[in-house]
Amino acid sequence: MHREIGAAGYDVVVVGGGHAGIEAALAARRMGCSVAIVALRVSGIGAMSCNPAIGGVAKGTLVREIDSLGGAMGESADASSIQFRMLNRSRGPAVWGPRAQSDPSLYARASAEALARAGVELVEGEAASLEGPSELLRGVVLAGGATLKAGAVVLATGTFLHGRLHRGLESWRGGRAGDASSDMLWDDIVARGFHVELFKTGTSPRIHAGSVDTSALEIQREEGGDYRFSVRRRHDGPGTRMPCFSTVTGPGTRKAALEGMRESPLLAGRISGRGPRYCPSFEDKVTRFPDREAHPVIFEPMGAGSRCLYLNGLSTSLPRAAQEAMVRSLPGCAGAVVASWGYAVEYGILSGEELEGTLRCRRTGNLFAAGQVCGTSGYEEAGALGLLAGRNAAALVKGRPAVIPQRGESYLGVMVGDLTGRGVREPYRLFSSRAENRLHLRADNAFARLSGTAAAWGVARDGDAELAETAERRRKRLLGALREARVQGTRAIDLCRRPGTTIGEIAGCLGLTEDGEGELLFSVVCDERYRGYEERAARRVSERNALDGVSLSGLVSYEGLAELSWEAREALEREKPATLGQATKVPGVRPSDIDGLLVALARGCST
Amino acid sequence: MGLPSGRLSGIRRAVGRIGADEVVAISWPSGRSYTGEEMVELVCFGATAATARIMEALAGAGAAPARPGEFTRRAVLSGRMSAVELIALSSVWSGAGRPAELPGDAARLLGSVRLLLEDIEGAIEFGDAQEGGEACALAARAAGLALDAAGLARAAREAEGPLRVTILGPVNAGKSTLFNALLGEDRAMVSGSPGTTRDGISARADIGGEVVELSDSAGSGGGGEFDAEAWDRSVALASRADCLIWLCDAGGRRPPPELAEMGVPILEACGRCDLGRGPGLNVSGLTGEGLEEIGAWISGRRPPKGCAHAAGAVEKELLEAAALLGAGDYAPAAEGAGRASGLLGGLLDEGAGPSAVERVLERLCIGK
Repeated sequence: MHREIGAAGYDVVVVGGGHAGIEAALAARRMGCSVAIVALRVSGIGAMSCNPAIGGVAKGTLVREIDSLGGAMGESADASSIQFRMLNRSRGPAVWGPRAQSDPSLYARASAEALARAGVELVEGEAASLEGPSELLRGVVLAGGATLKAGAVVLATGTFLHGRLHRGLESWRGGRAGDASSDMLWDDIVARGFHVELFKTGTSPRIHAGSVDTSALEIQREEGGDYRFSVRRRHDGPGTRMPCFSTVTGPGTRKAALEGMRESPLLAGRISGRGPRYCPSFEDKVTRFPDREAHPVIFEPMGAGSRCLYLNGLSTSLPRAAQEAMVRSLPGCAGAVVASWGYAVEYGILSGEELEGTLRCRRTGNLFAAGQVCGTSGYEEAGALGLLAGRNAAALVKGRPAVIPQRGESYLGVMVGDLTGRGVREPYRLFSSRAENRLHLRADNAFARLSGTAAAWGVARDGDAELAETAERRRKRLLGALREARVQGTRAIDLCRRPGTTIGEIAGCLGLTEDGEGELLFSVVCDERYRGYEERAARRVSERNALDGVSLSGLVSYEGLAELSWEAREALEREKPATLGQATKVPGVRPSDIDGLLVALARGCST
Repeated sequence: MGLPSGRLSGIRRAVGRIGADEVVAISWPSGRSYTGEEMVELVCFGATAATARIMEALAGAGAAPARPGEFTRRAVLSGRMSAVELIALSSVWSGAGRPAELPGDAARLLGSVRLLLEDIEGAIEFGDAQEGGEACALAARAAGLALDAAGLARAAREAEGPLRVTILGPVNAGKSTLFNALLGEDRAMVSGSPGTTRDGISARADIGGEVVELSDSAGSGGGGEFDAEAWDRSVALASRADCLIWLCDAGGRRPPPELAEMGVPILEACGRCDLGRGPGLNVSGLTGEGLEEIGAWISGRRPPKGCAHAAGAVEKELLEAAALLGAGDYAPAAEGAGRASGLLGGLLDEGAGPSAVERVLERLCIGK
């Protein structure tokens, strides 16, 4: 453990050692900064607090983006992967989603090793407050009174800031089961006048694998395919491959949940924070969809060493007795033993208005934020934001310009745009449809899209330039071959654009096996297939940017604007959008009202 | 006047120096009246003299009489009435088609397209390992909706009235021959001597799937006694057209500035190509050459803000989406369905709502 606190301090101090904090620290190190992570428990760094998996639709692409920008998440996931699947294989290459089941202990170990290799200092302790005036912080004060001096600070507090855990009518302070919360820092942030909110999320019970009769469940094995997240392909995974199991809930599960509902912390009004609709608790599903009995539950292994199964789909904050009854109502689970109980966590976040696109906090000179404290949920979202915050914090110290990722270039850009505009009203998760240009933002071309950005930002890893160069050479060679080859008079490259043509068929035209240049060929073919759509998508992005560029600050009041419908006047008066782009998204504002706003703006300019 | 809120009426003594006349005053709060504005309706009794006095009193208080179409104009401006409702209303006045069903049909189609889009997005973001037949079922739904869109486009074309197409050009360029050929019957008199057509002649025809009111006109540059006046009439005819066909001889004379300045689309073609060919599109009413191209051009000339044009574009998007879904490529199919929904939303003047994936979250039980 590193307890020595250098008197000279660090260039960048990161508060929190979760997925955001890790990437922030590593990115700042790659920029040449000295970096320390302050964590409540150093052994908790890189923990997977919720389900043991990385990736998914859009999220898996984001992991590839982190990897292409020099981050560690892809390699840690590869090193700990016990099952890898490509989601949406039958729904078109633009929305393929790489997803790995991870062994959480191996994942945390890989993360810790990455930090050690990079020379990130780890400080165990509680960050109690920020030091110095908000305009120019001098560092972080620890609970014992010691000060960590810093040129810039990154807040990556996850669910720990003012964290409150709830199960039934029990509630206690904590950022995660078994860990404390960070309350003093919250008080300091509130005292400094930040706009803050409370969000809520939850997790599922884990059960002992040995207490389940898995033969009563449907088995979900790894599908073939040598998939990995990292373009550097350093890790083959632990070798152990483990299946998941799936089933659906029945009337008994619903009955147990309904009975437990009397002691639901949500119904008792103990939780005020907003939770994610895409990840509802089981009691939420039962309440909102009373007619539905069968809800899917996936039993996900927690790794070879743990002998525990995570019950994906059974997130709950009901009391233990209800949780046990719910679990035991599932097929094969009559004698199931719960290893750890589900709970809800309510935690503090910074409102979207506090954040700049660089992830610097607006009211401060050198405080950055990343991960759940910005309103997101998910390891992948946290990691990507961490990378950006760490990079920009380091750039500030080094006197380099800050960067803002663009919507058209990466999911990171889409996410930053969504978070820093009007902000979010529930924990934010990336969906592929949040991108205007998802045919371009694919998992297969992440490195080709972003290796140049990584170099320009200064976060690329040694050897990445050569990797990118080789890939580009091979890409050009393949493209040439596609232009040359003909099948019954049709050029292979034209075949790519025909819907329904498979990669295998194209590979056949070129006399290649799908395995040889498989991934790259796939990427080249997708580029060709979607080329026609690119222009439209680019236009959508530029239209959006144009609308967002029209400021409505000149309009003092909407009441008197005769061009607008009454409904629109009321809605706009209530929401007060900053730009025309935001106005288009206000419910109650019609296309003709947008025309009306333009007229009003033009009139304002002419008088 | 102290009327209760809501759409309530009461008998009130009319204001001003009117004496004992009484009116029924109905108050319409904002958002509830035809125009969407706050409104008071006065129903007068008795002699026209009393009504006139009330009008006078109102004018004195600053009221102005409504101009023709004023209430409808205000309804559109305040967002109470969408483009498609306006078209429906205007064709009720002109007595065409079955317009009353248009807004309902368009809204129903929009609802179905939105559901389709939600189901595509739901499958992309939350779908399990694919259940068999998912792509085929979605493709079939998209194709079915394309058929509905085609029906909507047809009905809208009828309601919007025929597309007005006028054929113009120098004398003896073969305009009347083309007119008859497009019509499929001999309506205009044809001869080899220049200036045979003096007055414009019009007829209804089905060209390229469009209902068209086709007009033939007197040619320019005849040089005779009445030719200048005949050409003026042709220009007047052209000014009322949705699009023009400029037919010249092999010399390739360009349309005169008075036509080009009208800002309506002009198709330039070389007529009587059986006798001599010119640059660009060559047509001949005699051999039928170029008629198909003219039909295709005409069918794309619907004014772009209209319902028929938008419904046609919706049909195209949905057909393409169906093909993509059939091939298992969901993301570009969702884009097409999204554009279709945007077009219909624009037509009905519907503003932003929650995104498709957010609607999925409300409708379906998501989350493992």
